[in-house]
Amino acid sequence: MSYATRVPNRRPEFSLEDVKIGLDPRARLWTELGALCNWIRGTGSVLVPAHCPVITKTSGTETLQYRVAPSGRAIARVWIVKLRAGAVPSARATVSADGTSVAVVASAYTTEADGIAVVVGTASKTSSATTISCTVTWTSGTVIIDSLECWELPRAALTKDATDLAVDLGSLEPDRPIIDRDYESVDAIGVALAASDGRRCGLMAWWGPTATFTTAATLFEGGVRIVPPKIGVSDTTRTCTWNAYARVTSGTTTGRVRVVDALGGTSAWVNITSTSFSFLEGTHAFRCEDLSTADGLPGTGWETVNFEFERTAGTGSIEVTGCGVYDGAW
Amino acid sequence: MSTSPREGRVLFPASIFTEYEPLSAHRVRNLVANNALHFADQKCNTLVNWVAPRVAATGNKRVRSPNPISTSWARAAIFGPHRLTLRADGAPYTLRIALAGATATGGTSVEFGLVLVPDPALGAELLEDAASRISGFGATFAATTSTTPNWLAVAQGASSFVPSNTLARGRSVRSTLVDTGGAPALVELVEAWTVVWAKSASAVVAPEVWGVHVSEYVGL
Repeated sequence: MSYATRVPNRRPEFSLEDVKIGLDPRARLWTELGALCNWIRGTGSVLVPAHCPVITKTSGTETLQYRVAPSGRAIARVWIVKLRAGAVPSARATVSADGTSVAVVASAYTTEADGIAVVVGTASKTSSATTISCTVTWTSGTVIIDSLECWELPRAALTKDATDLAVDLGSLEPDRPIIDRDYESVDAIGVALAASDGRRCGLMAWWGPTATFTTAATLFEGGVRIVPPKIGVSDTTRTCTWNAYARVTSGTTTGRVRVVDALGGTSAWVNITSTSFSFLEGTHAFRCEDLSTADGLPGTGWETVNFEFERTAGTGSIEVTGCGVYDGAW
Repeated sequence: MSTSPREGRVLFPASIFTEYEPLSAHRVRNLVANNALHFADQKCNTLVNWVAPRVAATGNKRVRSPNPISTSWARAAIFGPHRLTLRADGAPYTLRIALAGATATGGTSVEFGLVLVPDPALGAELLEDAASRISGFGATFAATTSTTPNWLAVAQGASSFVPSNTLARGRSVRSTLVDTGGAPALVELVEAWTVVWAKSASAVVAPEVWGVHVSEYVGL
């Protein structure tokens, strides 16, 4: 393992006082910039923020699915699933994700900090939108899936290749020559930065008991609060991808879904025509973080997202069991 | 608050890093360092984000309430462990916290307390300690007497800070690989749990947690 490309566990910092017109940048600045690049590219992101599915199982399995755009360098994901028993004394289930399984016992009382499965599985390096899933297999009792979240495990070190674009910190030590070589020296920082981003991969996600719609209605009470990142100097919005896992209950029924933000702005409608559950996706420009305020919220307050469903033809209904918003391309 | 001088990404051509291209202090400050700092400022996470859905028109609330209901603080929901993003000094990024709740019976007061702890079995001391309410370090409180679910005004404002004992005791080491299929390696993390506690003025009236939001912000 090369310590020269190790990912720091805390954000490296440097002083901009060292960078002034008329002064040559110090060699130490480049070392610290290189370490910051490795931190930005190697720390991973939250893919599925913690939420409460509150799904009850007395038999069989439940596969919870989420659409995400991973950070691109992670090789392992951490799933945390909290189970609870629906009745005294306890319930048992097995939680499986990314090739790893954990069996847990849960009690009925929320006062007990038990029934928690931490599953660490492998992940492939991709930043493309993909569906990830976690399966809860009932064993005994009444199992309630209380909460779930998923985040990428930080990398211990990055690899000097075209995917990881590690910066070799040894090549940036004082008195080392500036050279033109892949993953080394000043050039490595420019290449790594050009391919980096500050995405917040998972902004919100929900998977739960099937919700049914016939007339136009929104899914959540008051909407879910989100804070997308800010990119450009003058940006006030960030276009994110939303998704809904939905279907119609009969072939003669059609419906549609869109998102509504805090100020009443809406995305374009996306039609629901299939009788099989599938992810439907769209995009919407949400108000993004405002770095000039003390808490980072836009001056007009929290941005929220809600999902509005309505039937457009037929007598069947629309069924929804999952939705989310993720930060895609930077 | 931003640590980057421009408070945003500045686009520049990759050609400025090619051979014979001069790299001035201006370019280093306003392009390279600025962008690296801005990416780092934005690279924080949404840790908890949940609102109860309207799964059925009646009788099927998907809220979280303590079991059993209590007039003393009792856990209502546990989330985590989350991985905290750390600044250079080892302190975590600031957290934005919001709570939505209601009471099952109008007029009966219910109270909620959100804590970040290194172990989900801990946290009661933060709720009991009046000093922590004043400072808001590690505990966020909200109360209501309404049956209408709403985001509640939290006693310490929208931001909170992770207490030092969470930092000290939340340090963990997890096993991984250097790269896919590579040699074993270890990564050091600071992990914290979000635990929502609730209590009611009546032992038969349930406090209802309708939503929780915890997200990181670079802060000061």
